[in-house]
Amino acid sequence: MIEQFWRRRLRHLTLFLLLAAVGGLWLYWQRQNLGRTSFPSGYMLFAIVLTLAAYRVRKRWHFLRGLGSSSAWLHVHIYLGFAAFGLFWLHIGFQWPLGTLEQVLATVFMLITGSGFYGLYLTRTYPKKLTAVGNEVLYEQIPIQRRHLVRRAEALALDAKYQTEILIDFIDRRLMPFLTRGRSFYYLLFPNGGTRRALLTEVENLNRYLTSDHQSGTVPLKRLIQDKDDLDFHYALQGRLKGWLFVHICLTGVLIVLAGFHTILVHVFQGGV
Amino acid sequence: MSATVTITHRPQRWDQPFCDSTVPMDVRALLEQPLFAGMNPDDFPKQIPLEGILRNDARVVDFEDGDIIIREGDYGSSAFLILSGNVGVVLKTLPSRLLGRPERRQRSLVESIREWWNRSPVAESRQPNNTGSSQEVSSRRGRDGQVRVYLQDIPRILAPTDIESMKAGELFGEMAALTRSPRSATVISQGRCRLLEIRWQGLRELMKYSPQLRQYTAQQYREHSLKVHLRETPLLHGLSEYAVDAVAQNVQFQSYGDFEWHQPFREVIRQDVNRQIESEPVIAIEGDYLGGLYMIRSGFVRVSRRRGDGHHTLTYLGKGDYFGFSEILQYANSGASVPWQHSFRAIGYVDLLQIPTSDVVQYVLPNWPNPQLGTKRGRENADRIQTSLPDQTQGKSPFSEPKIDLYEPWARSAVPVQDAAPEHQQRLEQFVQLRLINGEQAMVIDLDRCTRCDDCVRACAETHQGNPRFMRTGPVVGHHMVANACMHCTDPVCLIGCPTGAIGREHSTGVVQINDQTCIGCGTCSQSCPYENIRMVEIFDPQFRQQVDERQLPILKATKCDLCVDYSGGPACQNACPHDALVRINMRETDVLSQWLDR
Repeated sequence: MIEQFWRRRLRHLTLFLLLAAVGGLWLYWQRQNLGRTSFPSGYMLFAIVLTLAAYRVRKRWHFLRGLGSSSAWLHVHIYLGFAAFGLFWLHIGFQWPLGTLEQVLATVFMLITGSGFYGLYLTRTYPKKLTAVGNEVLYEQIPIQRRHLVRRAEALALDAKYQTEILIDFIDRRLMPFLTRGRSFYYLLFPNGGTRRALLTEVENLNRYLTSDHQSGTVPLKRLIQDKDDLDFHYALQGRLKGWLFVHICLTGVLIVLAGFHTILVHVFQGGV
Repeated sequence: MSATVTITHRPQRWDQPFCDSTVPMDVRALLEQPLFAGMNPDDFPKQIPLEGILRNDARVVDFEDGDIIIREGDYGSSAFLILSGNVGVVLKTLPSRLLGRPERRQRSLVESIREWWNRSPVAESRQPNNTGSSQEVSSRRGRDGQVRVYLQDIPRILAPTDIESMKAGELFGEMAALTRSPRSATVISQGRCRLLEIRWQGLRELMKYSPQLRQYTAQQYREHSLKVHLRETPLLHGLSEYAVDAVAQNVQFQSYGDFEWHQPFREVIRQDVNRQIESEPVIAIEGDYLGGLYMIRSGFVRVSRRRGDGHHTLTYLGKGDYFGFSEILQYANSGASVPWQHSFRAIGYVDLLQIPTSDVVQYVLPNWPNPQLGTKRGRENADRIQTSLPDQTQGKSPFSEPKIDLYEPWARSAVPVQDAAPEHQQRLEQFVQLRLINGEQAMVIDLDRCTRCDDCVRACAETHQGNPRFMRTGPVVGHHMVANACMHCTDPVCLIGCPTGAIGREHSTGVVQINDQTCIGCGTCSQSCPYENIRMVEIFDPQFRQQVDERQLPILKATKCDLCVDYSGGPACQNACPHDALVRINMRETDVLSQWLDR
C-alpha cells in the first residue's frame, strides 16, 4: 500500500507538534520553578544541530542504510530544523545577543536556517519547473550538449539550404555567440526567456528577406535557439539546486565549530553568570 | 524525372541460418532419425520444407563429459534432440556455485564498513585472472569454439540416483523453448554426446506441420505440467479430478507474436500508437464470435476497445491472467451468443491456453463461485455475480453499453473508456507501447520531485565498484521517468544466448544477475536487452592498469543493476533518494503502480 503524501505530512506534523509542545512545556515548567533554561535549551539545541548534521554523514556513508532511508532522515531533518529555529529563539530569550561570538554564532545559525528554508522551497518547486522544460538533461553533460548544438549549427551553416547571405550572417553574428557563450550572472540569478524570445523574433523577421525555400530553413534555427535556451535553463536551475546545498553544508561546519566553542566558553565562565 | 530504385535482395527467413557450428551437418542422416523419419515431408509447405528447417534452424553440437547443456532456471530458446551418446537429467537442484552462478549472502554492517574502508579508488577494478573456475565448476571451449561450463568430479557431486539418463532419439528442452519459461532441470552430458539443437522458430514449424511431434509435445505437456497448471489456476480451483482431466484433454495451445520481439523492438516503438496496435497479432477482436476461455501462460496481452478510428487501451494482462470468462458466463446465463466485449492483442509474444466454451460451461461454471476457496471470497464472487447478471425479466444485458465486466481480476484495474483521464490514458498507452510493462523492478523517478541531485547514482556507484549500474536517463512518461536500470523483466530476453549462463534469474528473489566470474564479456545479453540497460565495461586492476588479453584487446564485463541483493536495506538508489522521488516497482501490479504515480 503506497501512502499518500498528505497523510504522511499530517502524521509527521502532528507528531512534531506534540513533541514540540512537550519540550516547550518542560522548558516553561523549568522557568516557573526558577530553573535555568539556557543550559537545557542550549544542550537540546546543540544536540539537534548535531543530529541535523548527522544527515550528511548518513548520506555520505551508504553502508549506514540500515539506519533508515535518506528520505526518512530528510523528514526528520526538516522537522528538527523547524524545532531548532523555535528553540533557538527560546534559548536567546527572543533578544539578539550582545557578545561578538554570540552575534556571529546567531548570524551563522540564522544563515543556515535561512538556507535550509530556501533549500526546502527550491527542492519543492524547481523540479516541476525543470520537468516542464521537457528535455531531461544531466547537469554534467550540459557542456557536451552545448558543443553538440554548436556542431549542429555549423552543419546548418554548411547546408545548401542556408547558403544565403541573410541566414549565414544571422548564424555567424547572432546564433553562434548565443550557442558558444555562457549566460550572464543576472540570467543565472533570474532565468528568463527574454533572449530566447528576442532571437526567435529576429529569425521570424528574417523571413521577409527570404525566398519560400530558404524560409523553411529557419525552422531548425528556431529549434537550436530553443534547445540552447532549455539547456541554459537547466544549467541555472540545477546549478542552484546544487549550489544552495554546498552553502548549507559549509555553514553547518562553521556552526558546529562555533557552537562547540560557545559551549566551552559558557561552562568556563559559568560561575560568573 | 524518372524515379530511381535500388534493386536488392528481399530478406528471406533463412538468410541467417542457425548453423554457425563447425560441426558439419548431414541433413540426410538427420532425416533418418526416428523423430524425423516419422514425419511426412509432404505435410510441410514448399517454402518451408522439412529439410530446410533442419538445415537452417538446427545445428549439431558436441558436448564433452560433464558439460552442462542446460541449467535449471535458465531461459533458452532451443530444444535438443540426442543424436548419439547419453545425457543426464539432474533430478535435484544443484547449488548455484556448481552451475556457475554466484551464491548470495547479505553482507553484515561490519562487512559493509570493511568493504567501504578497503574500497579501491579505481572504478571497475578487479583482481586479474579472477574469472573461470571454482573447485567444482570450470569453463572450457568446446570443439565449436563456444565456451561451456562443466562439472568436475561428477560422482562426488551427484549420486547415481540423482541423475536420470536420456538416450539417443529423445528430445528435451522443448517446453521451455516454446513457452519461454525457465528450464525445469539441469541436463549434463554423460560422456561425449552429440545433440541436434533446434531453435524455437524451427521447432514451431515442426510442431505446426508434424502432427506426430505436436502430439508428442502436447502429450508430454499434458501429462507433466498442464494438470498442475490448471489446478493452480484460481479460476479452476475445486474442480474434480475428472473435470481437470477432461479440461486438460481439450485444452488448445496457442501462441501469438514474435518470440524474438526484442530484435525489431526499437523500430516498433517509434511507430504511431494506433499503427503499433494494429500491427500486433490479434487474439480476439471485439464483436467477434467467442472462442473460449484464454489463460495466459507467458507474455503480455493488450486489452483495448475501438474508439473512433483508433484503439483505446484499457489495460494489459500477463502470466496467470485470463479472459473470456465473463462472456462465457453471460452466454451461459442468457443462452444467447455473446461476442467479445474487448479486443485482445499479443504484445510481443504471448503463449496461451484455450479452454473451449463448452468445457467451461460444463466443468468450470458449476464450481463457480467455489465455496472451497474460502467463504469470504466465495460470498463476494457470488454477490458480485448475482448483482451483475443480466436482468432476464427486463431483457437487459450488462454489456448493452461499453462496460468492464466484474468477473475477471484484471477488470478491477481497467478504467472504462468514458472514465479514463487523458493523462492516465496517455501514461498507460506509453507504458504498453514502450513495453515497460515487462519490468518487475523498474526504476521509476517522479521528475516533479526529483531535484537531480544524483544521490541515487552516487549510492549505486559506491555500492558497485565505483561505477553506477544505471543511468538517470530514459523514457519520460508524463512527469515520470523510467530510468535506464535493469527492470528484472518478466520476460528476460537478455538471458537467452549467454554461452556460460553467467546471467541468470535467482529463483528466490527473481533478481536477474550476472556472475562476474563466469561472464566472458561477449556482449550477447547487452545486445539482447531491448531497453539498453546492460552495459559492457572495460575492467582494470587495482593499480589502474587496464586488463587486456594476449591480443591487447580489452577484457570486458557485462554490468547491470543487481538490486543490491547482497546488501540489507534494499536497493541503494531507492534508499538514497531524499525526496521519495525514486521507486523500484513491478509494472504488472497496476494498482500499486497507479497509487505510487498518483500519490
